[in-house]
Order: sequence, then structure tokens, then C-alpha cells
Amino acid sequence: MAANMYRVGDYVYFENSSSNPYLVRRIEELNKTANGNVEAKVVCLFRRRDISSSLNSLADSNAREFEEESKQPVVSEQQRHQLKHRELFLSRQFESLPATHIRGKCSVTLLNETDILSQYLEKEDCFFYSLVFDPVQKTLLADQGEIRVGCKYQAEIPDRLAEGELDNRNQQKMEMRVWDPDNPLTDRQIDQFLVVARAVGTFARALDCSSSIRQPSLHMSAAAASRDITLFHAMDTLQRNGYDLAKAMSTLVPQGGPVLCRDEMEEWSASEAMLFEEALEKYGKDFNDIRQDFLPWKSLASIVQFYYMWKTTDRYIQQKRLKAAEADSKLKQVYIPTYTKPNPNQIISVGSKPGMNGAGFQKGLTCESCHTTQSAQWYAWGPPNMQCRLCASCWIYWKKYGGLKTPTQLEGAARGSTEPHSRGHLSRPEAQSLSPYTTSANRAKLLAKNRQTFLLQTTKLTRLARRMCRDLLQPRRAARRPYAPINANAIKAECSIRLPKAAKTPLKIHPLVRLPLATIVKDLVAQAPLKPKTPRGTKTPINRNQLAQNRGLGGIMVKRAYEAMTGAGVPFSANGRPLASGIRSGSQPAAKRQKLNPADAPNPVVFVATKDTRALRKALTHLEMRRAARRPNLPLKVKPALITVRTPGPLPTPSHPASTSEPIVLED
Amino acid sequence: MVHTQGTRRKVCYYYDQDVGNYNYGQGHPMKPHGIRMTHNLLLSYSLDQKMEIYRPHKTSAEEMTKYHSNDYIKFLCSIRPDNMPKYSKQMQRFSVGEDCPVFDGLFEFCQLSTGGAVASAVKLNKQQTDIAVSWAGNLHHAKKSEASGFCYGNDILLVILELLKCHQRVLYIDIDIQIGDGIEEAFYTTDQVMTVSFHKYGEYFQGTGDLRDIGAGKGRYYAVNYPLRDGIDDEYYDAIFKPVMSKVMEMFQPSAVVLQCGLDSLSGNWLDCFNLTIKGHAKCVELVKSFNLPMLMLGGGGYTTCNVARCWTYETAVALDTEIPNELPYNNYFKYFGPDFKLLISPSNMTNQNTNEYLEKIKQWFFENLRMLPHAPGTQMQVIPEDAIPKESGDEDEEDPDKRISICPSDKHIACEEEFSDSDEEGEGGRKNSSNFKKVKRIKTQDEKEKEPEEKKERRRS
Repeated sequence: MAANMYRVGDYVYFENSSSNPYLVRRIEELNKTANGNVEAKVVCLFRRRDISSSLNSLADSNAREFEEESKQPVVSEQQRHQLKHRELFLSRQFESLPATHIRGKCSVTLLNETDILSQYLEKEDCFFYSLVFDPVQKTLLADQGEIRVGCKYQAEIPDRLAEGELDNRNQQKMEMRVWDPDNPLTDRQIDQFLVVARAVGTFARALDCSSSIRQPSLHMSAAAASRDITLFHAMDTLQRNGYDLAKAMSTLVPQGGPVLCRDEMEEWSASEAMLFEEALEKYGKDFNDIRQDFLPWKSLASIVQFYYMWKTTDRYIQQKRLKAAEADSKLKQVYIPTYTKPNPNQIISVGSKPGMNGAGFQKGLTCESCHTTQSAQWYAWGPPNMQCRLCASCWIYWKKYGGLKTPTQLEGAARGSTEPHSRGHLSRPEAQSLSPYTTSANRAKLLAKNRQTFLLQTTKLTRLARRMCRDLLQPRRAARRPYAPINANAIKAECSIRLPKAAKTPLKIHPLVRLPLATIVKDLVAQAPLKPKTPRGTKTPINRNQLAQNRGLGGIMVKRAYEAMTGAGVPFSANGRPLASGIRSGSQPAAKRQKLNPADAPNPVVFVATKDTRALRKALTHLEMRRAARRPNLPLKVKPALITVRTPGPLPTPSHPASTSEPIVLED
Repeated sequence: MVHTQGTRRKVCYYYDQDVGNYNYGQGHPMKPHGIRMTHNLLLSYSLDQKMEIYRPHKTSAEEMTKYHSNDYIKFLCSIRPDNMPKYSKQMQRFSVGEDCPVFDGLFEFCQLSTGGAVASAVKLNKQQTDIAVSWAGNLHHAKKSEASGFCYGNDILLVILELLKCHQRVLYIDIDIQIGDGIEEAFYTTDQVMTVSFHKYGEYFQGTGDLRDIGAGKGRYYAVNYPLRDGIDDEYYDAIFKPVMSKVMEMFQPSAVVLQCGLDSLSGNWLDCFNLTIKGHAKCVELVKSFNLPMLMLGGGGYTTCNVARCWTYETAVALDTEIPNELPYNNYFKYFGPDFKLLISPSNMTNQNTNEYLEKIKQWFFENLRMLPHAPGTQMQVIPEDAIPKESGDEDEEDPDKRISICPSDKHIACEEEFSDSDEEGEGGRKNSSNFKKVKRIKTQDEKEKEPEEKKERRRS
């Protein structure tokens, strides 16, 4: 079962919470702990949902740049949405996790220009990354060094020598010849000489007192004399004597006895070797310390040399065996069986056991992601009080990729950077899903900090439901408790029950003319308490989470007419749908109509000046312009004659002498 | 094991027995000991009798400043483990410390590795050998004033600089798993050196080596980075190495090649990312050798000492066109090669994350880029004037025209371009005008040199 064998270096899913998506990690080490468990030291990879919105937009621009540069084929909105789930951010952060929490392998590759992004979507469990996230500094950086250019970094290319010009450096000073293959000796003669050298070495050991103690038998002496150092010396001797065998032979046996070549292995006494072993035990391979404290009479080079030879001895192999037990704790791979326990989020049997996960879920609810109504398994998703559910395949998608297959109202509202912003409203489930660990105290901070905004686009049903189920919704109460969730599904369900009856008694809706703000506010205040009459029917638990989004929208300040701009074709979208259609539906009560607030909205709102607006600006005098700026809530009065200027022809000369012919660019 | 590629060529091998005695310190993966084990294995295979062996001398600090900054070399010269606190500021400045620890004999180690490399380059320049091998050092990450990735002094760089004295175009090939960023950076803006690096891309500390790093300025398209993913094996590696190198050879037409044979791309290496066997690795050597150019083989990374010894021994044998048995002969370090005591290693079963499609796409990308190269680019051949002042000879006419004269007087015979007019008055056979005068810029063959005094005489008479 290679699939369940996890090795160091593998990218794997870890589960640390049943409801949250898996963590993607790379295994760096597998360590056996004292109680027999395996702990994995892993490198953290972060998902888009794990990083702040500002970093997300940074990642967005990086992705755009990449797409342009690598000339990616066009991807659909849905693919773009899903690709965000496939992007990870590498970090240098390590953590330790129990290996039993591994839930499968995945593949993470560094994005490459030749990659086609959409291919990642086709392959299961494939992620890519191009940026590195620093969880401490909260920064995203490209995982790339750069090649520096400048005289500080580049080498100066030397002039080429002229033909015939000689490099006059003395090669003798750069090198010393140790062996020449073009020697007159045959291979056999060289081999013979090597045997002679060994024989001389054996004899020399017999003569040498200390050696004869260490190597009591002739065999041992011969073995010692066959070590590489004797052979190297023999070859050296040949070279130095000009490959004259007779001469070389006599150098092997100079006056005063035969030459004895001993390497560190032989040179060291038994007690020195003991000292070394002791020191190695104490300091490890810190040879400097070993020398200082144990063997100060040895040179460092000789200690290093001895160490590597000592590693070939039986002593070392013994020690290694002892250490092998310790090394056992460092595993190369680990087998983790496929996890089969049911996830506690699974809705066991719908509605049968109150108090269990299934409780409160009603029949006929759809998957939050793909809107299917058919699934073998259902899983509770999102904060428990929201009572959202996912079908089996979307649940797996959520666990693996940390998102929903389709951009939902929630996600579409909070994530897409193309959405217009209103005043720092962040849909609540969004805030919760941003970080599964955020406490409610932090959540408020997050809300304030992120200023991720959304625009609620109400459907007819929602609008109806608000009125039909006022008793369930309790809008005033909900407004006072903005953090209490509202169960939108329950309300919608209830509404659909009431709707047929209600249709016979049409609701009184005052067709409102657009009134000044103050009047609207007054109106709202006056209307609200008047309609708590709708019958109290079923006792569906109220989950305000979703409808709470609606709260306060009626009160959004309308500072300046905005239609002109949206009409100019700016692709604003709200809740994933084009905004324009909603705005044009004139049947809505004016109070509920969405107005964007360009002055208050954070950066993503872009004021696109058209020719017309530019012409309008020109028409304004300097004074008028300044006045308008001071009073953003007042509509601008422009001389009607000038508004009609739509031709691309020469613009009317500005009435103010100080203004230039260049269009004034307003930076909203 | 048959290496039939190319003809038998002369090999010079550089080694200093001290090099194995340096130790980077506890827990550091870089072990110069592997170089010594290689040498001992060469001895036991009797390969050492088949090549010229040289012991290099230490390079002077001055030599190293040919690339590195003076400050940096001065610092390397003086830093020791016991005086580190004194240099803490400089250590930071030169990135010496963590990856590149201060160890005893650090500078000597640099001197030795550089010494071998530079001496071998000089040897190639003097055409005293076809292939030079120096496994020591080869610290391809070191920057001009910065240590990096276990590398302090960049010996490869000095080698290339040395080769450039005699070669118009030098090709640097890096088959280490890491990018040869030190080299790439140093020659990023020149068209005289092409750097080709096959490496694992991403996550690695250098972070450079992007496909898009193709060189700058004049050196645009003269840097080739082949980013590879984990688990590449022999077959795939060969399938990209061969076509890319052949194309590079065709387009760049170098006159000398430097091949960095870093071994961390081998299977079972400490970094454990690629899945090459010794055979697959050596195949690259074989291929480069088959181009029959002066070639310098250098070591590099490689942190499993027994495999370092195995592979470099095998590659030395490839350079020597010698077959060696798979059964390892006995030597001092024989026990390192257990439990199988074989020369060749087998690949692991790790998954190859490189798909054919991915490799092919990158290959095509390179071919596109290589097409941008002007065919056989580079500097114009030109005669650099001699700076030595020659002894003035008396009358040229007295000289025997058949006698070969030295280059200095012959250069004097070349008159300045302005001396020649296009007028017809002096028109006589053999006169030079500006159009055929250009030929003089060419380096003269011996024949021409001999003819010249006569030409001069003629002119004077007319």
C-alpha cells in the first residue's frame, strides 16, 4: 500500500479539526516518541483563507501578473474561483503534528511559466505555490532570489592573450607532478613494485617495536603494510626516481632500515584511540573541542583523518549498532492506514435525533455549494448555528481545498476584490471562516480591520420574507444584536408556507417616492413597529445569521447619485451577480435600494470618468467644484446646456480662466 | 560499462592529500573527506596509473581577488574559530556563519581547491591536456563578496576567468541539484560565458534559477536554467540533457567546457530530491566529453561520502575511457561501501514529479531562447599589441628575408591605416588599399610574416 506510506518530503493533508479544511503540510521529519507514537515535523503551507484580505489582494495581483506573463488561456469565473483554492503559500514555519492525523497525500508544485493553471483543477489533490508567507511579519514574498547586476557582482572578463603570447606564470609553482602515465614501466612492473613496497613495509613492521606489539602476527603486519598509504608512497617513489625500478627500490630501503609508512590509524596508540572515543561520545564531531580537551598533542588534520578511518573499524560498527537504536526514533517513512471513522460533522439521520447534528436540519435543504438536493451523505458546514450543509462531494472539496465549489453569496461578497465596498460590513460567517481560531473578541477586530465589504442583493423572496415573517425575524431585535445569527433558511421555509395565504391579503406597501434621507429614516422608524401581526406559526428555531446581513442596509447614507457611473459600464458585481440589474429594478422601495458610497468605500471602488463626466467637470467652475467637494451629499447642479455635450469634438472652453484644457482627473 | 564515446584523451588529475582533512564542523553535511575517498578508490582501481596526477599548490590570496573583493578575501584569510567574536560584524556582512561556518583551515581549504582548479585551467590553456579533473572544492555558490551555500571562494569562477584568457567562449555546465548561482551571477552580463544549470527549482535556499533568468545586457540568453522537479530519474534526465546540450553546443560553439559534477542530484543523497543513479549522472559526463572540446571536470555538492567516491571514481573512469568492474576493490575505506560493496547504485522508488509534458515544454522554451543567440557570437579576434619594447634593429634591408623574425619587428612592419591613400599615383602591384588592408588585422600566419619585409622594401623603392 504505497498510497498509505508517508515519507519525509511528502506533501500531506493533516486534519486538526473535524469541521475545518485539512491543513496542507510537508513532512520534514518523522520522529518516534517515547510512547510509540509518531510525530511529524512539518513545514506549514497556508491557504488563501488563512491569510488576510490585503495579502489576498497582493496575491491576486501577483496571479494576474503571472497570467499575463505566461499568457494563460482564459478561465471561467468558476475556474478562477476554484483556482484560488489550489493556491498555497509556502512558509518557513515548522510545527509538530501527530502522524495519525494524516489524511492523505497531495502534490504541491512551484508554479512555473509553462504551467497551465486550469490543469491544476483537472488533477485531484494538486496545489501550486509561487509566494512565501511569513506568518510572523505577515508578508508575502516571492520565493525567489534575484540575480544582481552591477560591477559589484559580475566578474571582470580578462583580456584574451594574443595568439602566440604566452602565459608566463611558472607552472612549477602551481602544481607538482605526482604521476606520469607515459612512463616506461609496464603495468606489471608497477604492480610488482607495489608488492615489493608492501613486503618492505611488512619487514619494517617486524623490526619496529611498537608495531610488532600492535600487530603480533605476520598477517596483521602484512595487512597493515597493504594500507593505501604504503601504496601511495610507492607510487611517489617511482615518480621521484624517474620510473627507474632499481633506484626506486633502493630508496625504499635507505640506510638505517626499511621505510615504514604509517597512517593515522596505525600511528595512534590504543590509549589515544580510547581517548578519542571518549571525546567523541562527549562532544560529538566537534573535532576542535576534542583536540583542545582530550588530544592537544594531535593536529586537527590528524584527528579528522583518524576519525574517518576509525569509522571503518569494528569499534565504530559496534557503536553504530548501539546508536542505531537511538536513530530508530528518526523514521524515513510511516504507514498510516486510511482514516475511516465518520466525521462528526456528518448528519447522521435527518431530524431523527434531536440534539444531534442532524437536529434542526429540514428536509428539502440544498447543498450550500452545489445546490443539489440529493446526496448520500450530508455534512453540517459552517458555524453550527447557521445550519448550512454540504453534499458529500462538496464536503470533500471543502476539506481538501478549503472552499466551496462555486462562489457563494458569502464568499463572493467577501472575497472577490472586484466587488464594490460599502462600509466595512463583513458578512459574519465570512469572518468566522477567515480563521477558525478567532475568538469572538478578535472577530470584531477582524471586522474592523479587514473592511471587506459586501453588497446585499436581495431576491424577491427575501424581501417578501422580511415582511411575511417579521415575527420570526424580529428586525429591530436583530439590529440591536448584530452578532447573533439569523437562520435565513428557516425564515425562507416559513415564508414559503405563509406566502400562499398572504397573497390573498396584499401587503401594504407604500410606493415611496425618493425622499430626502431624513424622511426615509423617519419613515423606517415609523414603519417598523407597526407590523408585528403576522401569525406565529411553527416554532422554527431562529437562526439570524444570514438575514442579519440585511440589517441596517436601509440606513445606508445616500450621498450622491451613483447610477451615472454604474451605467457607464463598470463591472461592479454584488454577491456574485451583476449589480446593474438590481439597481434598475425600479419596483423596489426607494429606501431599500442599494447605493454605493464612493466617498466612504475603501480602495476597490473605482471612479471611471467617461467623456461625459469629464465634460461635466469642465463645465463646473472652480468655485463650484470646490463647493461640491465640501458638500458631497448634495446633488450637483450643472447647467443643462453643458450636459448635452456628448460629441467627441472640441470641448467647450472652460469658463474659468484658471483651469487648463487638460481634463481634471479626480481621484476617488 | 562501455564508454566508447569519443577518442581516448589525455587526462590530468589534481589532488592534494590534505584536502580530506578539513572538516566543516559538527553536523555539517559538507565533507571534504569524500574527495579523499574518491582518490583512494581510484588507487585501488589502478586508475591513478592511467592519468597524469598533479598536486596543486595553494593559490595566493592575490589570485583569488581576481574575482572576489579584497575585503572579503582579507577577511577569509584572517578569520579563525578562535577569533570569531572580533569579526562578528564582518561575518554578517559576508554571510559567513550558519551555512558557511568558520572552521579551522578554512582559508587553506579554499586555497587548495582553488589551486587545483586554476592549475588545471592553465594546463588546458597550454594545451597540455584534453581533460582536466579536480574534484576538490568547486564552490559554485560563492559570490563576489559573500559566502553562500557551503562555499567561500569560488574556484570555478577563477577557472573560467583563466580559460577566457585563451578561449573566446567558455561553456559552464552545472549538473549539481542546486543552481550554480555564483557562476551565473558573475557572468550574467557577458556573452563569452554561457552558463547552463540543471537544478531542482524552488524551496532551495538560493531561490534563483528561474526559467526566466536568462542573462542581462550583452549576456541576455547566455544563461540557461533548467528547473526540475523532485524525483527525476536517469531516463528523463538524459532525455533533456542530451538535446539541450547539443543545441547549446551548436548555437554557442564554445571552445572550452567546464563541467561541474555535483553529486547531490544522485539518488539517496542527503537532500534526497532527485533520483539519478551513478550511470545516469556519468552519462552527462560522457556526452559532454563526446563534444571533443578541452574539458574541465570539477566536483561540487554531494553529501553521502560513499556515493561521492563511487560516482567520481566512475566518472574519472569515463574520462579515461576505461571500464572498471562493479565489484569494489579493497581499500582503506572499504567498509564505507557496505552492505553491497558495489560500485553502482540503484534508484529509489520515489515518484517522479516531472512529467514528459513539463520537461518538453521547458525544453521548447529553451530552444526558442537559444534561437535568439547570434550564431557563434563573441568578441572579434584582434591582435593585442605587445607592450614590451623591442630592441631596434639596424637597417631592415640588411636582414635576411628568409630568416624568421620575431613577432615584435614583424608587427612594426604593419603600417598605420592612415598611411595608405586610395590615390592611384602610387598604384603598383601589391599596394594595399583600405579594402584589402583589413586583412592585416588578421593574425598573420608564419608565411605572411616572412613575406612582409619584402613588401615593405618594395614600397619604399617606389
